Amino acid sequence: MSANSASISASSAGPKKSLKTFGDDIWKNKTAKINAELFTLTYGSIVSQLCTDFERDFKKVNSQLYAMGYNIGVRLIEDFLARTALPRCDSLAQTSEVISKCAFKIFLNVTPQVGNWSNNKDAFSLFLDENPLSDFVELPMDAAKELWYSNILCGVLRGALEMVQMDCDVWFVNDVLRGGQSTEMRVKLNRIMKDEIPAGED
Amino acid sequence: MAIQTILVINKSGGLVYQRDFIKTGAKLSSNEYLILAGTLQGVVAIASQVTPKALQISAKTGSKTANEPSQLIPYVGSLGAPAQNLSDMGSFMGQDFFNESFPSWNQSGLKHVTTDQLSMFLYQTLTGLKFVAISTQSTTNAMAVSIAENLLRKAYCLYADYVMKNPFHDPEMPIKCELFDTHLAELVGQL
Amino acid sequence: MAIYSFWIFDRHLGNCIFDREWTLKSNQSSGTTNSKLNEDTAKLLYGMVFSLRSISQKLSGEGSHNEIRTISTGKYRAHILCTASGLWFVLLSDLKQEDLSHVLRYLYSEIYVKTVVHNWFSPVDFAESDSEKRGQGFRKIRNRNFLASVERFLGPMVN
Repeated sequence: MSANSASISASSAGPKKSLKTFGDDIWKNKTAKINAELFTLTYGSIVSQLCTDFERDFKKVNSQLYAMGYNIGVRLIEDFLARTALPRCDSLAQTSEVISKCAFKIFLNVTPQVGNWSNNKDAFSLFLDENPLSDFVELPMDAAKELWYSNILCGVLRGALEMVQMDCDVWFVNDVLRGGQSTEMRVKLNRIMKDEIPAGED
Repeated sequence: MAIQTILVINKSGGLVYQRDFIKTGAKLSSNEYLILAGTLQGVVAIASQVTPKALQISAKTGSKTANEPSQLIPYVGSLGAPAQNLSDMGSFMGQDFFNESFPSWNQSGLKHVTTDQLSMFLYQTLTGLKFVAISTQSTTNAMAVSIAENLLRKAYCLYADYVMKNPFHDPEMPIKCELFDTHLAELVGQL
Repeated sequence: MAIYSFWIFDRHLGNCIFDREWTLKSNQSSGTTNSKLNEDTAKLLYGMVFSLRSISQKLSGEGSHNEIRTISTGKYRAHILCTASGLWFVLLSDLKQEDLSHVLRYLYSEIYVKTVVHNWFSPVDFAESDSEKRGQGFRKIRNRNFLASVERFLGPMVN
């Protein structure tokens, strides 16, 4: 599937804009920016404080980051929808394109690659070439075995997708901070919550 | 078109926000507004069930690319009034919150009711949140409907900023954010 | 113009005493009249109109009546006429029709009144037993003149 020309098939008239252009346009013109170092430092201080608070029990730190991300995700989805007014995605493939080209672009200015689809097309991976959360970070030896530094992103995706009636599991498979080849997040769709879909959609 | 009341209803049908902008309008007690919210929640679903068979049949016979299902709501700048844009749009940069026509997430549910004295417009988001505007002008004119949809989407943008990003706001609970109140009053005042 | 269906509800808790649905677009001889399959739809339609009507009455200003006029979704618009005698005339059309109140008034004053009310052999109260008065009525308008007049008047509007 071509990675740069997934179009939104919403218009009955007028030019079809690609998701990539759409996401780029919103990032460039419609969102306020902050200093990248401040962002990295703020996140870093959260992770390091959690490690201290949980006395270096990294499983608990991972869960806490996930929970924090979930709370962010359930709120962030409203901002995303209000800003973009994108229609409901027809398939998981379209969802993955929207996540990669619009959501990540608008909020983090990165465009992860989508790949590694499962056989029955119910799971995919996002490969982050750059990760603004973890610039300049080096994990200590004990953390490098258990901590998923950017686990907050998994929580954000889970929370946001749940609010649009997609029950998904999101987890890290690989992280360059832990010595892996790439930073890879896996998203698996468990089910569409049909009974929670708001009335009035086709 | 003057807006009398704005309501926000959460996805379970509970009323989370209610504000009157015209003091001489009808006065309902808070209980009655709660009932109104619950009723609207139910009617949105029923309205999609009552879709005429003629439309159901043509939808099934593969006319997914027909004009009607994918109609866009045109963008109405400044909500059709000559007033200036809002002074402060929160996290939305540029001239206006958005500047393109947009699809509706609410294709077959209730959108619009007119009576002798008022019109009621309902905007439902993908997450089940409903924004309702009651205006003092009873009209089914397409332009008025577009203005109302644009207004409610802007209210959604304000919600995404001042309510969702307020860490002390409990989701699904009544909205008690002053910033949201102020900005919404400014938005409605534009009309 | 595209009209999809026409319904009449009487004052006994929403008995549907007439329904005519055109199921194929642009085909005025298609569809059903007083069909049993439409019973559920009739009840849903009545419920929807009833709920929104009570909301609009609560929202009315002092002393004046705030009667409901139209209900629209993204796909169709329902136009409503509520008479003082408790009859409701409901017409479902496409979204291009902004105001069909004149059509409804004609249906009431020229067709219903002339062929049903003025006809002594036709009942005006279609509920005969207590249960029918409480919303379980099933009698419909079967009056030939009425049916013919409705076809003549609304038929051309189906396209």
